[in-house]
Amino acid sequence: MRPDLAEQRFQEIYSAHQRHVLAYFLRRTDATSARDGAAETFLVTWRRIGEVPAGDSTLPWLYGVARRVLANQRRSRDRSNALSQKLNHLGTREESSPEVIVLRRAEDEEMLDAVERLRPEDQEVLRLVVWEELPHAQAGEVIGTSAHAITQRLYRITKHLARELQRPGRQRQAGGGDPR
Amino acid sequence: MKTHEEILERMSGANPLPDVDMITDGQLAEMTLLVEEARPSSRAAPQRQQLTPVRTRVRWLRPAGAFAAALLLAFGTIGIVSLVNRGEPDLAAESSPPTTGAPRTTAPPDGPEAPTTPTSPTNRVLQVAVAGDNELWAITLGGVVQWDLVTRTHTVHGDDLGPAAADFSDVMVGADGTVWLAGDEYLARFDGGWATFRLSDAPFGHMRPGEHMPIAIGPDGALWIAVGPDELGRFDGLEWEIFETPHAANLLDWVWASDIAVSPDGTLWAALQGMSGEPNPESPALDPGAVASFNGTDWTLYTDADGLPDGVRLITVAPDGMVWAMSFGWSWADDSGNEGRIPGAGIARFDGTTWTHFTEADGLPSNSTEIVAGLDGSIRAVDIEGDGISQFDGNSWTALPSPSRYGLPAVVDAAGTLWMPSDAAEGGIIGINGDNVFRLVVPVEEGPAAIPTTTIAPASTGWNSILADTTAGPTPPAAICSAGNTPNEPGPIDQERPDKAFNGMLTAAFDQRMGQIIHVDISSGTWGFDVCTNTWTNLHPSGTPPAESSAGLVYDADSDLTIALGSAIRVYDAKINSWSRNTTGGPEFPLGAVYDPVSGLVVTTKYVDDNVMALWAYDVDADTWTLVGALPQGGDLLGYTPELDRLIIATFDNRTVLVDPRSGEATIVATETPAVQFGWPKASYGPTTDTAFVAHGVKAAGGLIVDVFPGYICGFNPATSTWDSCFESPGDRAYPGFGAIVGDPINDRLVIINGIYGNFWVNATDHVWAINLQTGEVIELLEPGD
Repeated sequence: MRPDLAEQRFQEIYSAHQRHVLAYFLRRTDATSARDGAAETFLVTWRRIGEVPAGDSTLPWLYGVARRVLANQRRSRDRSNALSQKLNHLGTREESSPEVIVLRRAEDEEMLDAVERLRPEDQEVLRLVVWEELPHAQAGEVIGTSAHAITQRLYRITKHLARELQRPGRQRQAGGGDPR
Repeated sequence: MKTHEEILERMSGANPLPDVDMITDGQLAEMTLLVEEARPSSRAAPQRQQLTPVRTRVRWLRPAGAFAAALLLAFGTIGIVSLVNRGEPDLAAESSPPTTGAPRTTAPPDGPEAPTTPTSPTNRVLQVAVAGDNELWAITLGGVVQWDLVTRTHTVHGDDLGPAAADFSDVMVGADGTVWLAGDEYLARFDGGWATFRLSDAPFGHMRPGEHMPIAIGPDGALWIAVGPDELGRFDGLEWEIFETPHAANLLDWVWASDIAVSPDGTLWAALQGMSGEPNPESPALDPGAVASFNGTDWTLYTDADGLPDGVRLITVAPDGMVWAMSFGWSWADDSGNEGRIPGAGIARFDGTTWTHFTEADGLPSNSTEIVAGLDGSIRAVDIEGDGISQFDGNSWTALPSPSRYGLPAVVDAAGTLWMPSDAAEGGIIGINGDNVFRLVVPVEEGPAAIPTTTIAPASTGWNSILADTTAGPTPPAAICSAGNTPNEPGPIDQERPDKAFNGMLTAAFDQRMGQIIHVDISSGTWGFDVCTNTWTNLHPSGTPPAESSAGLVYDADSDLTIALGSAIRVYDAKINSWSRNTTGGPEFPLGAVYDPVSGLVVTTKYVDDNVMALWAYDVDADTWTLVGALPQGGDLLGYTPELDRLIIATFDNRTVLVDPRSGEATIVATETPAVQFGWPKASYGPTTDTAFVAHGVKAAGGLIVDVFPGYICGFNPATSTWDSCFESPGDRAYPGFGAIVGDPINDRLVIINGIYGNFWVNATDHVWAINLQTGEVIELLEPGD
């Protein structure tokens, strides 16, 4: 792609989607990591500007990059935290930043705990559809499956969550963590 | 048990950042700084400009947003319905011709001419399986449906499954004909009657209810089920046998069975994928997925080094014992921030010795396909996005005719008919065999006599008789096209056009005297579209339309004025090309508005408290509002039908309420009704002179939010009191919404302005289409200019 066209394309993408990409991270991690992750996502976008699909596939593509950037962030952090987690028998659930906690109510916390007991990919499906408000077809682009599969999976996920939320004694234990 | 919508609503409520506008400019500036600092070293780019944090506008905060916000206050659950609604998949064009204003008749089951009709949850199909005795089983939103493929008769299993009936999400038929259903809590086996089993009784150690647990059926009819990363169970209906997967033996750490299948010789096959869908630094060779087989004692592992495509997700075994592994591709990333998508997706066949890899280059419709091993011995590859089907002859792949709309999974019966869930409006199952197309659709009650109705008298608070006591004045002569006009020919492509974007509901109204559509675009520009020449004119009027509109534009015929309703009233007079007036005192941000040709007044609706919606009348000549009375049920005021002298309201539980504006008597019609959802993008509706049309519409069904008429624009038919006047949505792609829909009485057609697509209201084409209301013909009045 010609440099001037690349620049123009990047500007368009950045203008249109900067809030959505930053919001994606803020919904999943602390503010500092969110800022870094969103910036990294756009740097990847800039390096691969010629591959970014146009139209309504742009945002799913960005979310796909963001998802991998976030995974890298978490893996790096997990490694550095691994020893202390083992020593302290802590789970791996990432604690929320203070500014996010302020926004959460107890029932939201219960909901998010239940969500975090889902498989990571199911968590992502749910967040992409409900929080990022992606159409199923576009959520499928991010995950790598069909819209129909997203619809079916969402159906299963909510049924599971409905039972989880009605089950007594599902309060998160101190230190959090996946029960498995 | 909480419903699907309630769970999604809770999830939405738990969103720590519900609105992207909560992000501060400072946060954006910090991110921008990081990007700008790193970009030069990342890639040289001359003529680079400085990025500026841009405050993007949230559609919900625009006029439509104000509209939606009001509804959200009144109906707490509606917001999430709208969110999910935005997730409806894009649909390709359907080939079925529309029905137009005719009484709904029972559809013949076969053929491409099955009409578009409202449907039932039993036609919303999630899974299908086929048995050798010409039976097809379907998991639907309305229960488990058993079809006899010879007689085309069906049985809906519900009560006979007891409390488990609503649980099932998977169905599978074994080679011996055993039918198994699997859900989150139950299993069921059918052998002429049902035996149900609780999964909690199975001796798994790590079962997490609700997690997707793939199932398969062995040659002996026993059910196999994979649980998490480390357990595999076999159940013959009496006893469970639990096997440890290689995860426990540390052979396949970090992987998960995404699908399983069983060979005729009893060997179990599993498609394995990364547990989190992310690369695994501990087992990099398995990142792209793998396949494992289990003979009851030993596991054998196959990876891409053995010839498998990357990213294997599904696996199936054909009746001849050939194993097929299917890939959807695989994304990767490393700690240095590099990432990509591994090429070489496709499918692979295992003949007992070697894997043979096939891709699009070999004739597959794409590299993301599902293999359907038919009972007739055929092997077909079905593109997961609906882009085509190929058949394998043992050596090569050949493209087959494909329906334009289908879902997955697909199955092939013993006669070679390919069956798959249909994404067409009526849902059901579509079958294709050569040139023959079959449809399995559970009939709904037909005819107006079968539709339950309830008549409700006006509320005790009374009904103001203004709409009965006032008589419309004479209307100016209606414009007609000149002899030389060719209204069905596209207008000039090089012409000035309005801004293409979604600007709220009813942003267009037909000015009868001028013979043009008045349209207010997202930049508050006032435009006229001449329906005889198909040209836009930027009217540049004096004054401006209201800054915030909600109910949009309504043409008051006897006053020859176009009224914009929102935070205040503003009135456009085409005779002097001027916006004027700024009236308040009526219902601020009314919800929907129509012109009542009997009284000559504009009527609109507005909630007077959280539960009661009221009808209001506006006299534009006297500039006065009148509160007419309370309506029995809230909903979207969509139009007026002179044939019945009733206002048409679509309720949020997808019923139609017909309100007599003179007396207040209301009739609730229990017919499938397309609620508009006054939020983007499901807000496309428009009146004609005698009814109202809605694009797609939405409803909650069986725990899912689905389009009522996906891919169609449907109008209320006063002859049948149903929404059966349906036409295909125009355009070369599936548009979830349109900029405006409005009737063109001069040419008896429906004009549709701008196709809206994607996730943003600004994603739009500047098409203008028309649908001939007599013939259903779609005409492109204006090709896109960009």
